[in-house]
Amino acid sequence: MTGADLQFREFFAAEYGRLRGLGYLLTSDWGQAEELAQDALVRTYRAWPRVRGHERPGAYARKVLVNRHRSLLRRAKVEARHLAGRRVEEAVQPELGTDGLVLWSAVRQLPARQRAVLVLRYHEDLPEAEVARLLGLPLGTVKSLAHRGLARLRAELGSPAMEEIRGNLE
Amino acid sequence: MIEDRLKETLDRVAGGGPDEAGAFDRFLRHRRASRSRRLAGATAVVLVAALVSAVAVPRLLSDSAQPRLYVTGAAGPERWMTAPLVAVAPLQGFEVKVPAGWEASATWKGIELRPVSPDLRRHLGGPVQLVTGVLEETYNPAPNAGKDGTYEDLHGGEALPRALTRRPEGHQSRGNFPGDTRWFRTDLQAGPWRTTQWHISWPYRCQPGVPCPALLALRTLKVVYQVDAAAAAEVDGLAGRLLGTARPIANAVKGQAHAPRPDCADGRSMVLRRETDDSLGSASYGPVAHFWWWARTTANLVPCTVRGPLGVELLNGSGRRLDVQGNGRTVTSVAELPEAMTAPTEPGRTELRLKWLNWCDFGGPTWMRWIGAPGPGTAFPVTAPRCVDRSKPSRLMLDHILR
Repeated sequence: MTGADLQFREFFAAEYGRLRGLGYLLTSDWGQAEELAQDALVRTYRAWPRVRGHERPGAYARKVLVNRHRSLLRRAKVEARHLAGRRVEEAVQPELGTDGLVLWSAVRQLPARQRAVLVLRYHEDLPEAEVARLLGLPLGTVKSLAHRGLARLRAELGSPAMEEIRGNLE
Repeated sequence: MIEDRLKETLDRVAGGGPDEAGAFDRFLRHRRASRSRRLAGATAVVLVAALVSAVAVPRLLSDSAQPRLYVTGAAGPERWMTAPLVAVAPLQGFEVKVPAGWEASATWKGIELRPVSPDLRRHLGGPVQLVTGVLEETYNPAPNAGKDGTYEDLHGGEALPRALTRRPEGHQSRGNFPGDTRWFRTDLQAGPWRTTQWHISWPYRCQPGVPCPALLALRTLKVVYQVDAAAAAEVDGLAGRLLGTARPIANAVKGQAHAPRPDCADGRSMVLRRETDDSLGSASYGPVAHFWWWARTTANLVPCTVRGPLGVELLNGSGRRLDVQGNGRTVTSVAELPEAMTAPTEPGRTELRLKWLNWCDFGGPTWMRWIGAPGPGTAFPVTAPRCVDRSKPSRLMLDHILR
């Protein structure tokens, strides 16, 4: 194994979980999240001679993942290869408290762009300008999406539908 | 503030999910599949789309009127058919003509043959076996015989695990059958009995779009038998005929459909192991207690599906079920057991894991009993998980299935 391969292997170990988690936050599907993460890492591997010298190679992989997700959203279909040969995994519930489950349920109901903005802002801790660059949107649009997304979450948290979900969990 | 709660929730959600074990193996598979797709886009690859049953796919041999013995891979009692006949084994990827004077029976790993004549039968130590196996590159007559550009290169000299293949014992010889099929043979003499193994390289073609692990390049078709001097020439002749005329079918032919997989049989097409945190020495009264099944393919490389029901029953000291949600839960359809993993020398494996959470009843000892293979379901003590939240029920749930 070459030095570059070893370096990539370390990079993989450090980044895979994070990328997969990001994929899940964007899709709510661990199978798709796995697909997005592996895809991003394969593309990063191909560009590794160039990327390994970056200050933050993880940011490159994240950008690839987000671009891929956008492309899938645009085509509005799941890649055939995600289904072919993939054995369906049983659902794994994240370990959340009641409020966390309510909030996550509300996030999953957000429109895709609002959800992506909130995930990149609050999970990836990216500044709005960076989110705008990643999503290919004007900064003003990102600010507006974030504002509306949070407002929607606040409204959802207090709604009768969410009270019903809470009731089912307690 | 909602921003803080949102961040905390998103972080916890992202941190959940299936076990990451095997992620790099999947990456390697993904990378190869990606490379293959790019290659396939540049050449016209026409795949057989219709999934015709593999037993119907093989071309008929010239003696098409002969009866056929089908090998389905399922374990079962012997059923002997009198030759001449054609034995068809799509899971093993071969079709052979069995000559008159012999009887054949299908087994989970191939076919067995015995002489019709009781006199001759006395000179054999048991049935002659025609099966698939794996032989290290050093001895394999034609390693990578099935190489079609989708195999990783085997790392020269890297030894396969002993559990998967053994260094051949006895006198070794090599040669060619008519038609230039290369063979490798060992003969081990012990008293009046000679144990002989003949190998020819036998390809394994993975299904379209599935990268083929390197280990499958070492598949062989072999004949194994034990004879004394009186029967040696006749059985040697039979072995030569079987291997010299065997035809590849199903998973030995590029583009052909693979046969439906039978259920894996522990001790035959798979080795199944069960473990707990206690048995692994990792029980720590933490928030979670785990229960595992590990299945691994065996050297015969017979494709199969791990099927349950597999489960766990949690009990008190009197043998009554504990008040745990999901107690006694079983998983029926576990996974197709891969023939091999993407690491060059790793046999196929899969893993099923259950987890038990939040046990808050301190009224007595906790026991468990396995549900499903292998072995009897005797109850034994198990370390319970720590109580985390008294307001919530204790739960037994599926943790992951690793494929």
